[in-house]
Amino acid sequence: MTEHAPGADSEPMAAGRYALSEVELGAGGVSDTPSELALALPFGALFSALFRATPFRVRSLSLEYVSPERLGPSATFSAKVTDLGGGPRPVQLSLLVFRESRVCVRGSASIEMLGPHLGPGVIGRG
Amino acid sequence: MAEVTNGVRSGPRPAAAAVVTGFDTPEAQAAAAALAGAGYRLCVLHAKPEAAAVLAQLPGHARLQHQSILTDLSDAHAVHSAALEARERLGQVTALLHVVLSASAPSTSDAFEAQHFMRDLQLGASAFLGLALGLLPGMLATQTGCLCVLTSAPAAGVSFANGALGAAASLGALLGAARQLADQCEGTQLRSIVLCTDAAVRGPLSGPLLAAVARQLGAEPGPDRLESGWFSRLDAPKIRGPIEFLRLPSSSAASIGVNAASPTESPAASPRNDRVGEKLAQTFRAAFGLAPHVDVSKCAVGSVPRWDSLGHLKLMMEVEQALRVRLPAEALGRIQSYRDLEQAVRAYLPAQ
Repeated sequence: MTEHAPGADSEPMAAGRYALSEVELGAGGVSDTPSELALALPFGALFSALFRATPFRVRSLSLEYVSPERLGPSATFSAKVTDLGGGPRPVQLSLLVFRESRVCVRGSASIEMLGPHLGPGVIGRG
Repeated sequence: MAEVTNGVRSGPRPAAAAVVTGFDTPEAQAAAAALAGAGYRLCVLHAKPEAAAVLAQLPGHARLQHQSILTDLSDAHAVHSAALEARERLGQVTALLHVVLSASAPSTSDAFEAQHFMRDLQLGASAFLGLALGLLPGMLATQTGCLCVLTSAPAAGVSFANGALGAAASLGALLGAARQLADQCEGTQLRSIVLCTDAAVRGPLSGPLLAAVARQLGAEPGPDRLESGWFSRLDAPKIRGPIEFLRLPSSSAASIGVNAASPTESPAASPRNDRVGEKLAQTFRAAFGLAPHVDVSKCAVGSVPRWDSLGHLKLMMEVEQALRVRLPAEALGRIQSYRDLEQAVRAYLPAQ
């Protein structure tokens, strides 16, 4: 799944750029869907917000539970560019899911930047 | 500028902004000035109203609009409120510098000692943890931030002169707070670090120390940035986890141990001094479980495995008890070898 956000990017892409979103997870913390998927899906929107009109493919996405019991009805998802990559090297992202000052899940993602008309990308677990 | 698109907010790397505590003291004011000079927008916390006037003297004040908050860090509720207010005023806080460079003067009264200890505990570890937990959500959101304690070995309790229990608890609390935060930061781009000078610091801080503080706060995570040092070597294996210690050498402090009487030259050898030497060597060997053939005169912090921070406290306590000598905190902080210890003991032995 590739997410595209409307609008042109007014800020140049740089390491340290971030995107975040408050996400409703449901009363049980991770709703009825498989928790891994429920936790991975919101990052798609964050990637779109980061890369805006530039198509991309998620080459890998890895999530690690730190304290899943801290997850509640909602949590904040954050993605940050840690390495811009370049050439064949993908963009590296650092991922976090947290509530208040508590980290619940952390992870990383590798993003391949694509030309404007290439096919859809895939979200998978690394 | 951050943008909001369908509830998703994105933005550039946050501008550097720091909260600095203890702005009543010249040490913290110097640290704040160094950060302002490095381009940080500041929110300083102080307990005395007159300290706010110093704010206008910080570099870039007209442009950066530094902020000040009058608060009492010995009050846990005030600490929480200050953290929230600092976030509101700065927008995004990227660094916390908690300055703990002075401890209450040791007292001979146990009751008085307990009061001092509790206040030091609140101003040190509790305030650091409270402020950090208040600032962490914003740092986690942008995955950018550094939580830092700037302290000295005596202020942290490493060589607190009176009361081994108080010293161990004070140090344990500070390290525990930093460890708790380091656990929170593990696997993220955030850092929890303790910058520690070897000896007590009084008065304006030196340029090298200030430069080291500013550099550490702005550094990216990575093992190459952590310098080996006394604190790191001694405590990291015991503490475990991602907490970072950085030893700042004594030479980086502007003035060291000015409150302590300077040790005098060692007196010439005498029968009494020989007995002192024997007793000290015996105590030293017993404290670290060293065999009789070990040449203690060549022992130093790095060469004796059990000579860590707690071992240091135990050794000092046993030396004071065995030789009936009271070593001031500043002297304890300088002891890095058996020779240092022997010199200090001889200098402070009561005349007979």
